[in-house]
Order: sequence, then C-alpha cells, then structure tokens
Amino acid sequence: MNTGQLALLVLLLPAAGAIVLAGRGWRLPRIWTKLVGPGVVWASFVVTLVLFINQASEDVTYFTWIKSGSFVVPFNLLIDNLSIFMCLVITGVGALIVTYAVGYMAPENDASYARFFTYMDVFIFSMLLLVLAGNFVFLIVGWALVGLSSYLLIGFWYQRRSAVLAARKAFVMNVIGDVGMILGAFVLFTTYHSVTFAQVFQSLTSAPCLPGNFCADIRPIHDSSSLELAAFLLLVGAVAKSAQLPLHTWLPDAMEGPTPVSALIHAATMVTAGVYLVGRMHPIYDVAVYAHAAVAIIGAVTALFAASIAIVQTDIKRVLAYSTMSQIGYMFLAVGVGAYSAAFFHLMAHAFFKALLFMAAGNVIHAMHDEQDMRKYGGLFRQLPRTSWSFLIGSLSLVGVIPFIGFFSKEQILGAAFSKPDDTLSLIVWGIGFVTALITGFYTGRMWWMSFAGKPSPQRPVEHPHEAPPVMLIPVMVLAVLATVGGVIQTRALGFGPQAVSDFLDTVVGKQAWQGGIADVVLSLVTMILAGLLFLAAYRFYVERTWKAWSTRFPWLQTLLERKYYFDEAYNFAFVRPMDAIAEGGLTHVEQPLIDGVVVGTGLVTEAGAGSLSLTQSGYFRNYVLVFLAGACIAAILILVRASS
Amino acid sequence: MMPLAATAVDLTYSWSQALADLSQIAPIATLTLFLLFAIVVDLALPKSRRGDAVAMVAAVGYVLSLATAFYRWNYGDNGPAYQGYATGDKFSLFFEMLFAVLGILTLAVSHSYLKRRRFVAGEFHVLILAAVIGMMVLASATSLVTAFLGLELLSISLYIVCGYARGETKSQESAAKYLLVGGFASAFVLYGMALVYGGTGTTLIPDIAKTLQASSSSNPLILLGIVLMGVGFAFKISAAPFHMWTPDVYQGAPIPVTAFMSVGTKAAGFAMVIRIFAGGLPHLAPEWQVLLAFVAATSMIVGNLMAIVQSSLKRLLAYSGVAQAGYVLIGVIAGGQADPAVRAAGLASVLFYLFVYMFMNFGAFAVVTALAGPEGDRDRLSDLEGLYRRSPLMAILMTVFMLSLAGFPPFVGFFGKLFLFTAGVSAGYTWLVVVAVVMSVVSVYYYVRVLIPVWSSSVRTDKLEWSVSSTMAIVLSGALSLVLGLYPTTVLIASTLGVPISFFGP
Repeated sequence: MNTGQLALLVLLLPAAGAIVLAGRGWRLPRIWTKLVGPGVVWASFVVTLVLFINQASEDVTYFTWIKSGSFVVPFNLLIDNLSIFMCLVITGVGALIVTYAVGYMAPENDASYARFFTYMDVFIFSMLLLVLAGNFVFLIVGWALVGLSSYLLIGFWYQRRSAVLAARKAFVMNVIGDVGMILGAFVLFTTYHSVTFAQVFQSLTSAPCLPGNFCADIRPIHDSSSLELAAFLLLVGAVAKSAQLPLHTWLPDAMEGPTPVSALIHAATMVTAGVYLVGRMHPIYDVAVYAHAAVAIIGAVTALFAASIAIVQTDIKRVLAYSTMSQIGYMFLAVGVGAYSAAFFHLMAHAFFKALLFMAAGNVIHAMHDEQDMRKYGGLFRQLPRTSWSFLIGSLSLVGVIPFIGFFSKEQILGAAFSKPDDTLSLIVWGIGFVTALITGFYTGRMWWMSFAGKPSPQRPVEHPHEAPPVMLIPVMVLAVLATVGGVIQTRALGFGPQAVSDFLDTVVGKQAWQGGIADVVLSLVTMILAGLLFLAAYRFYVERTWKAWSTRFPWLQTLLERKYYFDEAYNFAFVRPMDAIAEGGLTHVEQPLIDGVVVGTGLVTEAGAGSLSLTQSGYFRNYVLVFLAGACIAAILILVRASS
Repeated sequence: MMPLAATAVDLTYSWSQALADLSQIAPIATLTLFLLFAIVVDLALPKSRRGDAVAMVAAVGYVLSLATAFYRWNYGDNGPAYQGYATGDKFSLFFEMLFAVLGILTLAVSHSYLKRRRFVAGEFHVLILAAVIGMMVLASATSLVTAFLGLELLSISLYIVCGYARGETKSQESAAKYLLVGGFASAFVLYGMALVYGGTGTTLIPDIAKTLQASSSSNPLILLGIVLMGVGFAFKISAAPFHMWTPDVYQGAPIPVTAFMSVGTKAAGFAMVIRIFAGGLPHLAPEWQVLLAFVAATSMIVGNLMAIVQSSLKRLLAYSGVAQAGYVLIGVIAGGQADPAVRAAGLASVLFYLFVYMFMNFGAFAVVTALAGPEGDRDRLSDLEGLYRRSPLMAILMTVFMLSLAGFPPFVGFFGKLFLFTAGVSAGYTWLVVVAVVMSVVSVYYYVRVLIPVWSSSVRTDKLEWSVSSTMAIVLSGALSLVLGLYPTTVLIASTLGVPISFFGP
C-alpha cells in the first residue's frame, strides 16, 4: 500500500471501530466491545509505525472536493514527520489508555460500556484527523470533533448534575476557541485565497515548501497586519483547546469525566492540540512576531498560575489537572520562544508521565471506592505497591529529576529560553518557568506524600484496599518504563548525547537557531536540585507536620489560591449572570406570554367555537402583530434614512 | 410612464400559442391535471380505498411533474409565457424540481402517519398537491399578480392542513393563528405590490426593472412598496422579527405538515424574494439590501438564541429554521450586487442551500414523524431517548441531519453555509458573515443537544412504526445529505445554471 492508503487506514480504523460499536455494541457480548474498542487503536498504532518506518512524507490529495471558480478545496492529508510524530503519541498512548479503560469501566452496564468505547474511538479518529489535516477545513472539523467528543465524555455520567455542568462549561469555552479558529482561517483564506496549508505557507515565503521540508526555513516575503490578526485568532483557538489563560476554567471541571478520559483527552492528547497548532502554523508565527510573543507570555503565566493553584487542591485529579495546565504552559512557552522541537519533546514526555499519573490515580480511586480527596488517603504505599511505585516514577518525572524523561524535556525548554540570544522576553519567561519548576516540586511532593506516605487517614473509606487487576496495571507499568528510560533518546539538556526527537522534527518545524552553553546545564542541575529539595520538604509540611504549614502564616494567600484567583467568580459576574438574565427575560417576557396565550386561546376556542374573534382578544395575537408592526417600522425607517442620505 | 390604455392587448390567441404557453408551464400543468384527477378519485371510489388511491395518483403526478421539469431543463426551449405573466426558465424549473421532490418526500412520510393517526388521507394529499402547485406558480411567476396568485394558493391550502388534526385544539389553534397572521402578511405584500405598480405602471417584473432603470430619482412610493413587500416576504420565509408565528404553528400542526412547510414555504418565499427583488428591482438593490441585512442579522441572533432553550423538537427546529433563513438571506443580499460574478455566486448559493436544506431539514422532521403514536405527536427531546437502541439506522441518520444542519463537514450543510458566507464576503457584507459564523457556532450547541438523548442508553418503550415509504424517504434524505457533501459540485453547477441571465439587468 502506498502512503496515502496507509494514512487513510490510520484514520479510518478508529472510525470503523466507533461505527461498529455504535451500531451493534450493546447487543453483542461484552467481549466484543473489549476487543474492538482498544483493538482498532492498536491496529492504527501499528499502521502508524509502518508509516514511521517507511519515513513517509507526502501531501496526499485523494480527490478535489470542491471546485468553484478560484475556490478549490482538495480532500488531502498531510503526512510528514510532525503528523507522524503526533499520530504515534496519540495512537500509542491512546491504545494503552483505552486498554486500561477495559478494566476501569468494567462496573458500567453493557450499554454504557459500549457507549464509552464508541466515544473513545470517535475521539481518537477526530484527534488523528486534526493532526493529519492538510487544509484548514479538515483542521477545523477535527478541532470541532475533538471538542464534541470531549464534551460527550466529560458528561458521560449524565445523571450527575456536576458532570453535565462541567461538560457544558467545556463546550462553551471550546466554542469560543472554535470561533477564533474559524475566523482565523477565514482571514487567511481571504488573504491568500487558499485553504491548504501548502499553498498558504507557500504564499508566505520565496523558498519552496515541500511536505518533507515544510517551510522549515522561512524567509518571509510578507509582513502584513492580516497575518498578525490571523495568528491571534488562531491563538484564541489554541488557548481554549489547551486550557491556557484566560480560557482555562473548563479543564479542572472536566475531571468529572471518567479517569481514562482525563488521562487521554485532558492530559495526553487533546489539550496539547494548541501546541500542535502553533507548531504546525510556525511559518505564520515566525512572521507574526507579536502573536508569537503572546504565545510565550500566555504559556509562562499559565504555567506559574496553574502550578500555584495546584498547591492547595485536595482532589487528586484536580491537582493533576492544574499540573497539566502548567505543563502545557511550558510547551506554549517553548513554541513561543521558537524552540519547537523542544516543545514537542515535552509534549511526548508529558503524554507519558501524565497519562501514567492519571491512570495510577485511577487505580487509587478505584481501590478507594471513588474517593478522590487526598486527605482521606494516606499510607497507601504498603498496600498498593505497584501503583505507588508507578505514581512515584510519574511524580519524579513531573518534578524533573534525572534520569526520568521529564527532566530532559523540561530542562531543554528552560535551557532554550535562557540561552536565546538578545531576547529579554525569553529571559523573563525563563525566570517564570524556573519559579514554576520549583513550585512543581512542592505540589508534586505534597500530592505524593499525602496520598501514599504516613499513616492511613481515619476517614479512609477502605481499610484494606486491593491492587488493580492486570489490565489496569500493565498499561501503567509500560508507561512507567517509558517515563524512566524514554529520556535517553534526547539528552540535549545535559549538553551532550542523542537528540532523536529534534532530528526527526527539525525538517518540519525548523532547527532551533541557537545553541545552549554550559550555563544552561548548570542551571538545569540547580533547578533539579532545588525542585527535588522542595519535593522532600513537602514531607515535613504534610506528613510529619514538623514545619508549620505555610497556609496558617498567609491565610489570605491560601484563600486566594483556593478560590483559583477568583476567575470563576469573575466570569460568573461578567458573562454568566447577564446571559442568564437575558435568556430568562426572553423566556418570561417573550416566550411565556405566547405559550400562556396559547393556553388561554385554546380555552376560548373550544368555548366560543368562533375561533378568530376570541383569538384576537386573547392577548397573544396582539403581541404577534405588535412585534410585526414594530419590525415593519424599523425596516421602513432604515430604508427611508438610507434613501434620504 | 406610459398610459395604461396605450398597451393594447392583443386579443387574438392562436392554438399554437396556447400550446407553446402551456408547454412552458408543463410541470405545473401536469400536476394540476393530477390534482383534478385526485379530487375525482376521492369522490368516486368507496371510502375504504380512497386514501391509497389518491396517494397513488399524487405519487404519479409528482413523478411525472418532476420528469417534465427535468426534461425541459435539459431539452426545453425555455422562455416567457402568457404574455410575460409566467415563465418556464431554468430558475423556475429548478424550483419546480425541488417542489416535486418535496411532494414525493411528504407523500412518502405522511401516508403511514395519517393511517396511524386515523386521519382521512385523501383530502390531505389533495391539499398538499394544491400547495405544491401554489409553490410552483410562485416560482414561475414573472408578474406581481401571478406571484400573488401562487402565494395565496399555497397559503390557503396550508391553513387547512395545519388544522388537519381536528380533534386536537393545538392543531386548530395553529391553523387559526396561521390564517390570521398569514392574512395580515398577505395584506402587506398586496399593498406593497400595489404601490410598486402605482410607481411603475406595470406588474410585469422585467418591465418594472426597465422602468426603474430609465428613471433616475428614487420614488418614495416604490421604497414604501419595498418595505411592505419585504416584510411580507420575511414573514413567509419566517425571518425575525416576523417569525413569531413559526414556533406556535409548527408545534400545533401535524408533523408531516410542519416538515413540508418548514422546507416548502421557505423555498417558495425565497423564490419570490429573488424573482421580485433581484429580478425586478436590481436598481434599488442598496435599498432592499439594508432591509434584508437587518432581517438577516435579527433572524440569526434571535433564532439561534431562542432555539437553545427549547425542549420541544418542533419548536427547536422552528427556531433553527428562523436562523437558517437568516443565513440564506446573506446570499440574497449578495445577489443584489452590481458585479455579475458576485451576483451569480450569491444567487447560486441560495439555490444550492435551499435544495440541500430540503433534505436535511425534512429528514430531521421525518424522523420525528416516525416517532408519533396514535394519540399524537411525540416531539419532546426526551421522546428521542435511546433511539439508537430502538433503531440504529434512524439514530445515525438523525445524527447526519443534525450535524449537517449545524454545518459540519463533510455533510452538505457545511458547503451550503460556506458558499453563502463566501458570497457574503465578496459582496462586502463581512460584518454580517462574522455574525453568521459566530451564531452558527452557537447553533452547534442545540443541534448536539438533540443528539444526546438519541445516543443515551436509557430506552423508552414507545413502539416505533417505520413504514417502508417513510424509511426510504428518510434514508434518501440522509444519503443525499452525505453524498452531496462529498460531491457538492453537481448541485452547485445546477444552481449556477438556475440563475437566469435575465437577472443581470436588461
């Protein structure tokens, strides 16, 4: 099979799985759901591996979708190193998580079970479409579909009110992002008259843009404001999808979804779509310098902001959610300063260790009978040894300790920001990133020690918890191994050694223009040591309690963080309540009188028999005519004003 | 202005002329013949066999009418007829084919519905036939008088079928309301036409265009005429703020009627708007563009926002229809531009959208039709619960319809919107397109809301009765919503051809 057919296969396998499960899943024996759900994702992973081994690199056009004058939309997929890299992460980590879900979702009934895997397969398909898209139309479709499947999965337990509310919040935020995306694509289309990436990028540069070398070396021939506008609008989409400030409030609430969903969508894949978008659109951001700087600033601020909130969270999944926001902030920071391949390396590393942390947390939650409050855990290390060790590996990777993968990826980003020559902004964002790294050490330590060390909490729901079944442990362990040894493929943070990911991606996103020095390496080690010490210090604070809790010294800070800097309250005040008032007003003052009118009118019709007369007297018909006449008057005024001017 | 007496009417009318005129309106003539035949059948046959026989006659009538229109599209010598009062041009043929297909779909869906609810079938089909003829007359009218004739034929038939569920007060309510507000709107249209006639001295649309081209100053009579007609048209296409009747009437009327109206009245209304505004008043385009832009923006905002809070599927789709009318108006506005390319793109996008809107919107209503039980329609969102377990095929098709209405590619609704919006941008109405994009993203919310009960695992025990004909109609609509999305070019070419040269100024 050629590259085009293989790519289509990667895409359609999960779609086929979803269709089978949607159509027959709940009628078939459960074993079929167990096989088909994860099976198609594994198959898709294998096909992606074939593409990877073939070193495929092609912009495949299957057929011309629409041709209307100068407006041409090809049905094309872009297969290059970046999209293959993303596909490997999505299908690889995705397959492990979907397999894990086979065990995690076991208590559901047959219908819900099949529904869950249908949604998961739809999500994988949408995400693959997003990264394989070769034009803005497909990109937007994938973008909207991942938002849709995320919405469905957050609200999976739709009997819970909190889940439905969380799903709605995520949906609204994502819709704001989608509007930004669509308008951004529209600006690009009206400027460059094309919807394919290849042609839009080609218009930006005089150098040839080929799939294998996708405008990696951009020499802009345009410097227009419409490009800045498009870049900012696309950034709105990226920020909403990746839960960055100020459109971040949905992600912590999204933890209402089942844990495998949190691991797959709200940690490993979908939320990193914003990073992918900026990376894919790098020819635009390389020219649009203000938008590019905004990416770095948003990333850095979000990283610090989210990490600080994570210190006070008590729900284990919420700590991980804020940590995810913070880590994606690092990736934004990296693409913002132009260290694209470092960002993608961290994306991969984060997918490994954060999926690991979520799934291990899922095992704990299962063992604790759905209790998510860390204060009610304690002392789990002896009782859940395998999960605890895996969680520790994930935590150390998150903190950034040698030799775990998180050290190499995060320090490479910080090193790139620190050593970027003649750039004050990079130095500032490095400073923020450095502080964030220290806070990360502290909150991760707090989470780990509170949950696993010390004595069991008296409020613990289960006295003698059981370790999870193999189907839930093996994926966790596989990721634990990857998080431990994965770092060896790229050790640039230490100043020597291989750099496989960068070599692979540089052809698409461009080689980082500058090299770090020995100062970076020293700073990396300093960061690691300080973060590690804070990780240990958390033990004193939260288990031994020998050090007085900082929250008693600064109660106002504790409140500020617990209220999450009052973002939800501010949004409620500024948007939700006025909108509610408008909708309410619409219902009570416009709809309700009409419906009531119907009821009143109905009575009159049946009584009087002479329908029309009583109808006109019943009030609501008068309303109709009133609005009708008002509209006609406005129309008349509009036209007459226009004609007399 | 020419005195009326000078236009002496040629009173000789030869047989060959009569035949030529008749052949120009052949699809309408065919259908009228079958309407008369259907009435006779309904009277002559014994009661038990009437319904099926009339349905049969109507089916043959629609198919023959469609075939005639198709033949004339390909081989006909299309031109004006009846001294310019009607025409058989491609624009009218495009709509005649659309209405014939709509008639077939309505017949397929309604027959089993009528039986299930134990309604008299014969009269129903006759009335729908009459309404379809009214729509066709409207599409082929090139005179204000003929247009009004078609409008009333269509409206009066619909007033009656809206109240077809005689036992239900809701249905009676719907009919009475539609009649009252419809009469009100008809009066507006008629008054507007009278003013335009007063201002130009003719009711023939091409002549109106010629007269206006000759006169340079804008005549307040004609401006007022535009306002009054515009308001009446906005009522017919259920655009805000003249939409208030839509949710109530849609909710009260039996579902097949709602399905038929939601697509047919809208398409007929747009045919009339294009014919009169773009065809007859191109020189006053800036005037009616302001009016339509106001109506379009209001419709998109009001329709989409009100749809969000609905719990009845009929009402939800009614408000969705209000919003969709707003989108289509963008294309009509682009159709008023002086640049012929922009004009053609705008009008073609309207024709394209109306054609594909038929399948997706009718399909959605048709699924609800199948949910109805003998006691009445079941159109609350909760009535859809667990549809995918009761009928996976219908669940998938409902998903297709909703996603297509929401404008998700690769479904055809996406391309419809894309063409409308690009036409709007090239006509310079970027602000309107921005409103449209924002509001259509909002609309995703309520279309998806419909899908949540469809795919939820709780199941209702209500029995579903799928007749073969209605299943076929729904499957056809769904398949076309997808296939036309994968190959949108076919219909686009037809739509482009459907925009007559005569619209580009004498």
